[in-house]
Amino acid sequence: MSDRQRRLLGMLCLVVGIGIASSQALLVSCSVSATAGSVHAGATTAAPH
Amino acid sequence: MQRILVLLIVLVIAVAILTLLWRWIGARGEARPDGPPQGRANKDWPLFVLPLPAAAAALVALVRGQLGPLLGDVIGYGLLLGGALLIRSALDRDDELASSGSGLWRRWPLKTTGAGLIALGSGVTAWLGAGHHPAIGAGFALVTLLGVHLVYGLDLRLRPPLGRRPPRLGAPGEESLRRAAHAITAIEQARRDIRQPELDTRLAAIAALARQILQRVQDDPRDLWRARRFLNVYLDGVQRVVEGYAKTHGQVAAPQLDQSFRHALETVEAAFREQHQVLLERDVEDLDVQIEVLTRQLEREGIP
Repeated sequence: MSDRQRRLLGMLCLVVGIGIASSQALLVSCSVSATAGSVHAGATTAAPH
Repeated sequence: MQRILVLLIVLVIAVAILTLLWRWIGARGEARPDGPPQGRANKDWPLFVLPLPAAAAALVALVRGQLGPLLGDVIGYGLLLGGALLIRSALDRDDELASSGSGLWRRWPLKTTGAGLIALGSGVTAWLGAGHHPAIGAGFALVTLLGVHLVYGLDLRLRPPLGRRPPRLGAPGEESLRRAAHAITAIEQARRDIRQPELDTRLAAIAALARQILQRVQDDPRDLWRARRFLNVYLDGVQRVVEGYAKTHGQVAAPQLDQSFRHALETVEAAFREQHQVLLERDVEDLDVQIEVLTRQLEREGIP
């Protein structure tokens, strides 16, 4: 494997390993619907049995 | 609205990555084969750019009050950044660490530690930040580790501890090399302060030649006496001149001084090339003598 091929493969691994993980974390942060206080407010207003 | 925001952030980061990648490939293609080595600045930018979405994710999680993703993103980004800084230090100081620096850093493999932190950061980001299974996070970590190894290499061999290091050079020789490494670092720092492309290129070539000479002396301590004048006199003089010029050139307009400095750098570069060539030729002569001795010994013993 030539030096250029090795570096390209390594760069691809870095993009997959770091880039995709970071991007997925960003997507999760933006798409989770819970916001500040909403879960706690939901628990306190739930009607008792 | 949220998806548009996410798409915008990802698009900006993707454009930045593609632009830097385009410039990097172009710079590699234009590099002269016998010129000074590519600076560290061209090599470590992916480690600082690729984790940016994790930083954005931490910011979004903070704003939205999501504690779990926030912790995962902050820890993951911190590990990624820490590993990137260690890799940068390893790329910057690889030669200097071999001959100077504190005892701890002489033994510790910076690249391997940095690679480990980056891999761990990637795994933590995938597990805690993105919500993957821990085994998937470990997979991300392994892929990242492989990527760092292929692009930057791993220093898997621990340098021998100071106490058991073979005394090849002796204390005065070690001290000479340490001062020389510091002088080269000071020249490189002054180069960054001067900020003129022509002088920057020439100073980079001078620093690269100086490091090559230093490396030859480390590899073969017999070269120490051949390079003693270079190490103890010339390098100090070059450091003083370059630092002095870096301090004054921005404050005083002196075309005559600029011209003298340019001429001095040309002379210094030629002298350093000659010193390096002398060391190479001595090594070739030594090898030639060894080959001659071996051949005669074999002939004396009747082996054709």
